[in-house]
Amino acid sequence: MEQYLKNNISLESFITLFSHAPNALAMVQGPDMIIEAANSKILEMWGKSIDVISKPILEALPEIKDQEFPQLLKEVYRTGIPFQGYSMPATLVKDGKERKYYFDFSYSPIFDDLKEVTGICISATDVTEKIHSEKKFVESEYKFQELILNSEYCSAIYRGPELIIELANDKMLQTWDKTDEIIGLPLTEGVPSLVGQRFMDDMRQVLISGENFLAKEGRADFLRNGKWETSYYNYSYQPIKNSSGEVYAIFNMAIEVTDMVLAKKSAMENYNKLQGFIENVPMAITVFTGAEHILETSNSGANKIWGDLSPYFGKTFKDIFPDFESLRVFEHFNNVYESGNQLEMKEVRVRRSGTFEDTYLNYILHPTKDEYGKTISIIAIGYDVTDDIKMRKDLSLSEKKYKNLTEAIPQIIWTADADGFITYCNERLQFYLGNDNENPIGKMFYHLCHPEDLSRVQTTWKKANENRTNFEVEYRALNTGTQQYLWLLTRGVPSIIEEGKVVQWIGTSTDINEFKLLQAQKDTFLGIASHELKTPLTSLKLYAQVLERVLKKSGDNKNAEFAKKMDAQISKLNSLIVDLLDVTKISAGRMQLMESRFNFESLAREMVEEMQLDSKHQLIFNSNSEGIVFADRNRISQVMSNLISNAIKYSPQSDRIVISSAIIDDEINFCVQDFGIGIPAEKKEKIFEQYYRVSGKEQNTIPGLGLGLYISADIVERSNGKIWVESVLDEGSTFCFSLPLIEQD
Amino acid sequence: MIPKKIIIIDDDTAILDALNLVFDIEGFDVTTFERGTEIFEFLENHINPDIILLDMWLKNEDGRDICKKLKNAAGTKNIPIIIMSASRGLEPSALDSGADAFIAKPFEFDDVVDQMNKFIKNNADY
Repeated sequence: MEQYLKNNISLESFITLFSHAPNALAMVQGPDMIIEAANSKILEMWGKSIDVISKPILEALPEIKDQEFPQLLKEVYRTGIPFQGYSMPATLVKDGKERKYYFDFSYSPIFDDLKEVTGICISATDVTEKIHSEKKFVESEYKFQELILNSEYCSAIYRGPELIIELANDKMLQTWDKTDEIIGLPLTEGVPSLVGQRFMDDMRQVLISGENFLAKEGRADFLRNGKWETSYYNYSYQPIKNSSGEVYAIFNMAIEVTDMVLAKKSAMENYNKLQGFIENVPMAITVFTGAEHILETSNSGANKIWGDLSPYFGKTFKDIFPDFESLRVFEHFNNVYESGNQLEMKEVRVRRSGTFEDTYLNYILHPTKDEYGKTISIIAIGYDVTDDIKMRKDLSLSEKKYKNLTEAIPQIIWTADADGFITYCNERLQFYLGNDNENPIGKMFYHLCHPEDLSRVQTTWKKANENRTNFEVEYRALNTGTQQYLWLLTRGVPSIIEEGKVVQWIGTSTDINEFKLLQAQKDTFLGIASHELKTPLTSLKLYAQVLERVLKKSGDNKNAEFAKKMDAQISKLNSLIVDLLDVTKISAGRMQLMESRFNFESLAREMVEEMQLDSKHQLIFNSNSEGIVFADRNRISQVMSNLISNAIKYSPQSDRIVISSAIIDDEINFCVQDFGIGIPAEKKEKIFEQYYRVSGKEQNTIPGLGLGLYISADIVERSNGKIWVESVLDEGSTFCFSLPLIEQD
Repeated sequence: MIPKKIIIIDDDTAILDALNLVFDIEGFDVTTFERGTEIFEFLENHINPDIILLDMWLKNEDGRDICKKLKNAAGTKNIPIIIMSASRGLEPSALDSGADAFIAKPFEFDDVVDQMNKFIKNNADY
């Protein structure tokens, strides 16, 4: 080298070159490795000063004693073989601190002319930083991979335009329903269900543009276990670029947000439903916010009343409703806003848009509050009650009219519930039954009934209520003022029937006192009259009989016969009077039955035989059984006689009457069949009524007062029997009655 | 044959006359009174009749009371009494007062005789 130097460059130049070389250079001489030369670079590297020159290297750098370097130097010195070291770690003390460095270095032997090693040239490059960064890079790559694989999120890296799956964590594989066997496959092959969905295009876009791609709540459909499943993801595609800025891979991260999306969806649906509900609810709903009551929203119900409110959104209550009538409502809003208490108002008059008609609202002002309890806004819910009020007005008007009407009627008019308790009654009640009956509501309609009439009224009422039919009953009711009884005729009609039950009865009670008095007077009169008539009749009859006897004795049989006829007519006259008397007894309830046990069939036979004596009709008697009854024998014979004589009377054109007696179950009956004029079906019931006579062309030719059947019916019914008629007009009638049999001793 | 004695009491003279006439024709010994009280005086001085026909409703008198009185008095209690009335319903009370029979007015004369005979026959011996 010396030679080379001698021949080529000056020592000075060499030193300059040596000192200013960009590499760290040093030269050691001899077996003790005396530092002959060291440029500033190496001194800096070593952290030493120029003082190290001429010192053995181990003395200058004692910290390397236990490191590899002294050995290496010795080796080079001994063998003359240069040594190249790369990235060798070295611990050096700089500024009193031990630090680890990495060096690329070379030890080159310096030879003398004899080719003997005399020293070593040390050159070194500090690669510490490079090593560190390399290490860091490896670490970070490792960490990155770790991160991906362990990530809670679905993560994957696709490389190249083919999107080769380079990495996919378990999460991602699970999402795809795949295993790590697909690593290394193009994405379209590894996860074929992605084909046709937007992801592939998005990724290609990222490959081209090199820009991040973010998507929220993207829908993805995956074939899992043979079934298509829809999920939603927030995901990103991040380009991975090489040093020259080209995108060579895509880092994909995804978070499943299906639950959230579904929840949001259902919340949205609910919200829409609620919105629809609010919109369609037949109420006016508005929301006002803040102390100024700014209109936020309104529904169609509100718009119906005030017109379309949407142009007023954002305006204050006062702007929207400047009229005087809204002033009160405004105050209500203020009260609610300040107090935070809900307010409920009824029938408040408001101004309807575009009209001057009165509109009435019931409304609720409901404050909504923040978490500190301060009112934020007021929800006003109102409904139009104008029609109700109108109807109520109309109703009260019609009620008034109706009431006036009922008061104008001389009858007591009442309504009662299903059980007969009065629900309404006009003031006629007080008029007829005393002023202290001011409030009859809740009392039975017959609450003032005479105790003697009570059971009869109750029976009639019970029957009508059970059968849901009209009823009519006469009874005495107490006038609580005068303490006198008044005859009333009460009629009831089931006015409302729901589900087969009477809900309301309408009734009238008519004062029939005068009528009853007249009736009683008539009965008394008839009673007296018939009695008085009988007295002259008795003597008249006797005289007729005397006359007959006298004439007979004198041999004047012809005139005796006249006298006999006269006697018979007097008997007929008497029987008419007897009937009248019986009727008055029935009306007055004074008909007494003298009951005894007797053979019904033999009485019937007796009667038929007796009646036959005076009749031109042939009376045919059919009987198959005998039975004992307990009744008034005379009265029953009267009934039989009445039925037979009626049959004779009403069949003048026929010549026979069929009379029968038979036992059916525990009853014995007596039937009289005629072949006469018959009775129209609709009059069959009437025929047993007082004074009723079958009308028709022959009516006037048939004598009678129309009392016989009435009396007969009364006798039969009071004997616990039944009386009825079967009849065909113009063909004839069959009148029957039956009495209960009693057991024979 | 001694004619049967009959006393008839009725406030209606027409009836009284008619009965008087017809019983007379039939051969009875007839005594008539318009008032019930008269009979008691009469019976004090006369032998008992075979039968009494007594109207129920007399002027200011009740035939049933007279009947009771007669039936309660030892001397007259055996005289058969038939009460007559236009009120058929009064038969029970008539019998209650002690009458032997009841006849409703107006009547068939033969019926009255039939009834009377039931009682008079019993006394045929005396």
